[in-house]
Amino acid sequence: MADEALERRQAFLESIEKLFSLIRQWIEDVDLKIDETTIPIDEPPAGVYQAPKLTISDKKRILIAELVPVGTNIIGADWRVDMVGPYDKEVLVYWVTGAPEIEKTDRNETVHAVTRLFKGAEQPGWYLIEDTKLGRARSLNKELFIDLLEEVANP
Amino acid sequence: MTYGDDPLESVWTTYVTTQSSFKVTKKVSGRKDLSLLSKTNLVPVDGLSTTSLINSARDELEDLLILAMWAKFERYLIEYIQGVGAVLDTARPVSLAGNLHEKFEMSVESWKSTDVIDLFKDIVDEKLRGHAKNIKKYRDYIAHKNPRNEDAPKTDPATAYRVLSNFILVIRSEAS
Repeated sequence: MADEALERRQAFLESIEKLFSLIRQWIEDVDLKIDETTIPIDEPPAGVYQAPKLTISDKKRILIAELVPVGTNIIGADWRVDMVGPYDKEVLVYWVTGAPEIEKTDRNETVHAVTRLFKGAEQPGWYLIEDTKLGRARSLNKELFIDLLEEVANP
Repeated sequence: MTYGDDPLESVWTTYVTTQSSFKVTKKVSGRKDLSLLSKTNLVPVDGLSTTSLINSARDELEDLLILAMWAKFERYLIEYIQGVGAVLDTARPVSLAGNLHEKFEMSVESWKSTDVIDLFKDIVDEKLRGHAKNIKKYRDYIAHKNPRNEDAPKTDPATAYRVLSNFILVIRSEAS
């Protein structure tokens, strides 16, 4: 396996562990239960590997949401985790250096303008990709995460 | 109905509208009175809940959106290149120009998508072209389910829309 793929996989797994640790802190004052399991991800050239998955349920063990790792072979992002609830799904991506830049150059390769594929994502971190044509991404924090739980869990 | 100049807007609007309809249906399915679902395939039967039917449809819809957006995008690029090649019609000798133009227009239709994308290498950012080619790979995977293409990078509707619409936007700004 290529060293680059191995490093990428490792960074992905560490990033998920940090995210899940944050999520535990974010919902510790809410009456919810968290279970962590693993799922296999098959990604050439890294091959099959196990990644952690988080299941959040209420005190009656009714599913609120699952945080499902998707992998590192993602168009326009470094890696992705989906938040899947009984009623909806949200896409969370990680950008190591912010959302991809798009350069406007001339024939001499002089750069005239730089924009990002998604607005509002200049820093490294986890972001919610809004499912709109406006191309906005929102940095994931406690408030947004709780809102997303509500969104995917309730009709 | 017109959708302005964005060739992807009609499929995107259809996607968003369908997603909204799914949400309304899920809200209805959460009620005790399911009469609003009568005469549809959404009445829960055989252990299949309305929500699970809708969730399956949602996932399928996302794939269909990618297929539809790619078709619109590819058609836009082909017609753009055919438009640029219209000058062949005025080439000399005149007796050859018409046939040459006709041959060019037909030929463009069968060019490989990746080759068409690379024609724009002096206009469109290399990374954006790379993302567009990857969407084509993903499109091929969901269209043919060929196990050899299982390593195709994954995408989501919003990212695919952003990549393809930005590509078109850059071409347009160059042309204007």
